[in-house]
Amino acid sequence: MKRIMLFSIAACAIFFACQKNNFPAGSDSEIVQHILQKNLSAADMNAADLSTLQSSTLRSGHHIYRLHMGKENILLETDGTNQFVKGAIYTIAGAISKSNNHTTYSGVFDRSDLSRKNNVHWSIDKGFARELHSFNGVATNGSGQQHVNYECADCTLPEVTVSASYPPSGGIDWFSWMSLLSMFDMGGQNDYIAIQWISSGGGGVGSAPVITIDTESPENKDKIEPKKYTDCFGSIPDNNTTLYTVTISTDLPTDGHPEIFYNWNDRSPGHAFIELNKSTPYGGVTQDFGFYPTSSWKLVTLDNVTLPSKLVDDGGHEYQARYTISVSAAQFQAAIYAVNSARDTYNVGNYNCTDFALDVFNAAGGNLSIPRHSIPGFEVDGGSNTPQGLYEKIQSMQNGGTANTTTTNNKEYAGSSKGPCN
Amino acid sequence: MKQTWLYKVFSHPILQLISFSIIMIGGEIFASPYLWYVRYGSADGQAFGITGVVAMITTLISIVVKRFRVQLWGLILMWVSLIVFFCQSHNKAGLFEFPITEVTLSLFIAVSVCVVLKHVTWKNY
Repeated sequence: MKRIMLFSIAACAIFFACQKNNFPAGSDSEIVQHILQKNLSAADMNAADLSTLQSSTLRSGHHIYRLHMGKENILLETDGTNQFVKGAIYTIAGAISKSNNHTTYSGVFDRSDLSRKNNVHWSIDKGFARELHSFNGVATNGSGQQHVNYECADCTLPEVTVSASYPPSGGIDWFSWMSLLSMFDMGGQNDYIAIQWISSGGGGVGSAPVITIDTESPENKDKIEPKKYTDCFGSIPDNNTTLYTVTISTDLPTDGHPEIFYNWNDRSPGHAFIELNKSTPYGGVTQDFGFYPTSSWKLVTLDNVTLPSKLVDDGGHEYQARYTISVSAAQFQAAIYAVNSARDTYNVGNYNCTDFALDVFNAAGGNLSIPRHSIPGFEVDGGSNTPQGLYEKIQSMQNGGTANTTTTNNKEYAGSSKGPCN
Repeated sequence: MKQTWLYKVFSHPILQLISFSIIMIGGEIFASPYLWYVRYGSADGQAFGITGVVAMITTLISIVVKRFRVQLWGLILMWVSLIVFFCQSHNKAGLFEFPITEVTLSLFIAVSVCVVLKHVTWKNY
């Protein structure tokens, strides 16, 4: 009996010692072009490369955008109705060095408003901005070389600290978005920047891959009436300036690893969803739709059953790859029809979330077919459409130079949906 | 302890295997018996999956060699597999959210207690 007691106590102790982890949530649009046309000079506008656009959404519903402009970067913030809030042009160039287990950054950091005013030029020496400290000599910054002589304001902590470095991936993770926000409102002095440096390689610093995971279940997602969501697009006028886009997104079970079919930690096979956007220079409406079974508990792997389905609001859902197409008004209507006439049954092997997303995307003229894979426990002849297959397709399209394709090794988040109307 | 037929059934290696395999685990899209996790987790190199397979093989061997101690080792490995799985799984795989997980796990606990008592009481077949 003593052994039984000890065995039971040990088992209970290990169970209760386990920790639950929660992870944050956080967008995208072609409205950026209109904002840039209004705020950038003609030369800067020509240099802006919209194909490099990356986006994310803040909890406030504001959207953050980043894109390349030659060797510089543009950072924009818009509100929930896609109205321009603020922007900045910044450059980070330099290298990360490591000695005695102490990693430092040296290089230059330039920042200005979109109108090229309120400039900040810093030459960073081992984390310290020379311009902010006691320094008498020649400094190199974005304006070239100049002799400077500064008093030390605060030599306690460096302005730039290296928290992690990544090999170039084309992606930007959630923490980096948060770090970039500090560049919007920088003054001329005494600002600290929190930069998560996207390394161009080298420097003797090992990469620090980040794999993050979320937990959700169909039971946690409220069923929506899609008609109430698609009716919102009627509030945006149809004219020559109206842009219609359809975006298909895929969320891998394990970020950055399309070869992994299942995430054993959050028990997720991944997800795919669709985003419809209709906008004009004066505002727009975005709605995200995902297809789920009504309950996970009735979908037992040993019995590949068909169950009632539901559409949910997938605004703010994470993704690792997405593909956006501009469509005509008629194609957009076809996509809306596909959403409103979504199947009312869900089958993991035969008709799952990826099948729904593809149906809507292809109804809008997407003409997308993806590699099919066998889902363990739900095998069907010819394989199934899966989030991994969608990721592989978008990645191959991106490698082939297809515009408006995005992949990331970490997380990005879809914009928030407007929600139901009427 | 008296060897009643119910006690014999509850401490039998076959019921130990069945109760271990049918522990229901909820997921993001579908729910699965633990056997599915062990089957595909072991193929994916997961520690809980490999331990689970070894545990099941050990338990099967105990039927052939008719040794309680081997069955007990199978049981211990099953618990190691479950503990590793639940601990690495977020939200403890919904252990305290989904009653069906608790019910099926309770059956396995009951079987485990009977197997341990059998080992303590009878030592051998």
